[in-house]
Amino acid sequence: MRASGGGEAGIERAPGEAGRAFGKVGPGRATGTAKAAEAAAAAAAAAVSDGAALGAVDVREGVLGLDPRTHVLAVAAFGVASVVLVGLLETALLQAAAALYLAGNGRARLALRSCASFAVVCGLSFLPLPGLYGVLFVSLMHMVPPFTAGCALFSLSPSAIMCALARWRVPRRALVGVCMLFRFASALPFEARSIVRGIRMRGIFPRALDAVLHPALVYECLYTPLVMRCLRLSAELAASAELRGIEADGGRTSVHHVGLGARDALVAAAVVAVCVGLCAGEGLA
Amino acid sequence: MESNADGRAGKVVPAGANRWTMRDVMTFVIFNIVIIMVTMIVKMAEDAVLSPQNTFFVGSWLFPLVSTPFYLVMADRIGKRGVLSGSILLFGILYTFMGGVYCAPVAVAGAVVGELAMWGRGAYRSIMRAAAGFFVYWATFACYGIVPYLLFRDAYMEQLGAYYSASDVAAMVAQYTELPWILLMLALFAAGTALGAVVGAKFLKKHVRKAKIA
Repeated sequence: MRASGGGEAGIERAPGEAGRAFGKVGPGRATGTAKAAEAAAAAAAAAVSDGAALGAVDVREGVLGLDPRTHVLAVAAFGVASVVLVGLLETALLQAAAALYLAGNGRARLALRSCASFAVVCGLSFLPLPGLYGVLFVSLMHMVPPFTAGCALFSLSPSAIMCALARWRVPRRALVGVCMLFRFASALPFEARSIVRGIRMRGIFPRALDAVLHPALVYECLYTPLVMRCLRLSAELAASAELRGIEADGGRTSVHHVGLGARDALVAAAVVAVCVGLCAGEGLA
Repeated sequence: MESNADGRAGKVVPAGANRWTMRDVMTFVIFNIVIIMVTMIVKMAEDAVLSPQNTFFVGSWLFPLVSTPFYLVMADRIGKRGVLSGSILLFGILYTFMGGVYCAPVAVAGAVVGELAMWGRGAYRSIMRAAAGFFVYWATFACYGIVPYLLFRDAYMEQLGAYYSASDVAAMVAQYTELPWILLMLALFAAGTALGAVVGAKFLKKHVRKAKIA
C-alpha cells in the first residue's frame, strides 16, 4: 500500500499520548474487518515505540532552519518585489537574495541550480527573436526569485508543513489535502510514464506520426487510464490514511523543526528589508 | 444544513451527507493536480510554438477543452459543495507561490462567485451545471492575466520595453486590457469549456460510469 496522506512512519505522534497511540491509528475507525484491525494494532504498537524514541528530536533544515510559515512570508515578499522591479540588475540581486535564503535553509545545490536557471533564462531573453517570442523568457525571469524562495517550502517534509499549518488551526481535511498535494505531484509523472509505456507496449501508435495524426484518440488513450488510476488511487490512499490514523484526535507533532522564534523574525525582517530596499533603490535611480 | 450531495430525483439526502470524506479530499487533490499539470503541459507546448499575441487565440479554448473532462469526473465523484471553490483557490494559491501575489484576492473572489453559481442540490452531478461552474474557474484564470496588467501595466511595459519594440508590447497588452479583447477571451474560454463538457460527458458515460468506479 502506498504512503498515506499523513504518513511518514514514525514521524507523527500525539504529544504525551504514546501509550494510547492516537498519533498513528484511530481505534476502530479503519475498516471494520478483522484483518484491518490487526494491521491497526500493529501500527499502533509501532507508533508507541517510534513516539518514545523520537520524543526529543527537532531537525532543522540548514543554518537557518526556519518555520514553514516564515517561508510563506518570504515567498510573498519576493513575489511582490519581482513584480515591482523592472531593471535587470535589481532582478538579479533579488534572485541572489532568494538563492541565499534557500541556501541558508539547507538547499545550497537547489539554490545554485536556481541561479543557473535564472542565468539561462536571462540569456534567452536577449536572443534576437522576431516579434514578442522572447516575452516568455522575460516573464519567466521575474518568476524565478519567488519560485527560488518557494523551493525552501516545497522541499520541506510534508510532516513539517502539516504540523505548522495545524498550529494555525487549519482544518484537518485541508491539512491532508496539502500533504497529498506535495506527495502526489511528484508521483504523477511516474503514473503518466507508465501509461505511455502501456500504450507503446500495445502498439497503439507504432509511429510518432500516428499520434500526431490522431490527437483525439491520443487524448482518449491517455485520459481513460489516467482517470481510472486516479480514482483507484484516491480510494486506496484514503483507506490507507484512515488506517494510519489521519483522523485521530490530538495535537500533531513533527521531528522537523516547527515554531516561530527570534531567528524567524530576524530573517523575515531581513527579507522584507532587502525587497523594500531594492524596490526603493530602483525607484530613486 | 441542506445538502446537495445527491441530486438524483426523489432521493432523500441524510443530514451530514455534504461533509467531505477522506476519499473526497484525496480525489479532489489528485484530480486538481492532474488538471493543473495538464494545463501547464499544454501551456508550455503552446508557448514554445506560438508567440504571445497568438497564444491568446489558442490557449483560451484549448486549456478548458483538455481539462474539463477531468473536472467532470471529479465533480461527479465528489458531488459536494466546495469542489469548484476549492479548485479555484488551489490554482490561485499555486499562482501566488509562483510569484503572482495579486492572484490570491482574485482567486478568493472567483471561488465565491463559482460556489454561488453551483448553489442548489445536485449541481455537481449535472453536466450542464458543472460545466457552467467550470467556466467560472477559467474566467478567474483569465483574470490572473488581466489583473496584473491593470495594476502594474506601466511597470510591465517598462520591463518588456527594455527588450522589445513598444508597438509589439502595446498590441499584446491591449489583448488583456481592452474590453472587446477580454470578451473575446471569455467567449473562447466558454466555447472550450462547452466542447470539453461534451467530450467529458461522453467519456464519463463510456468509460468511467461503465467501470463503476466513480
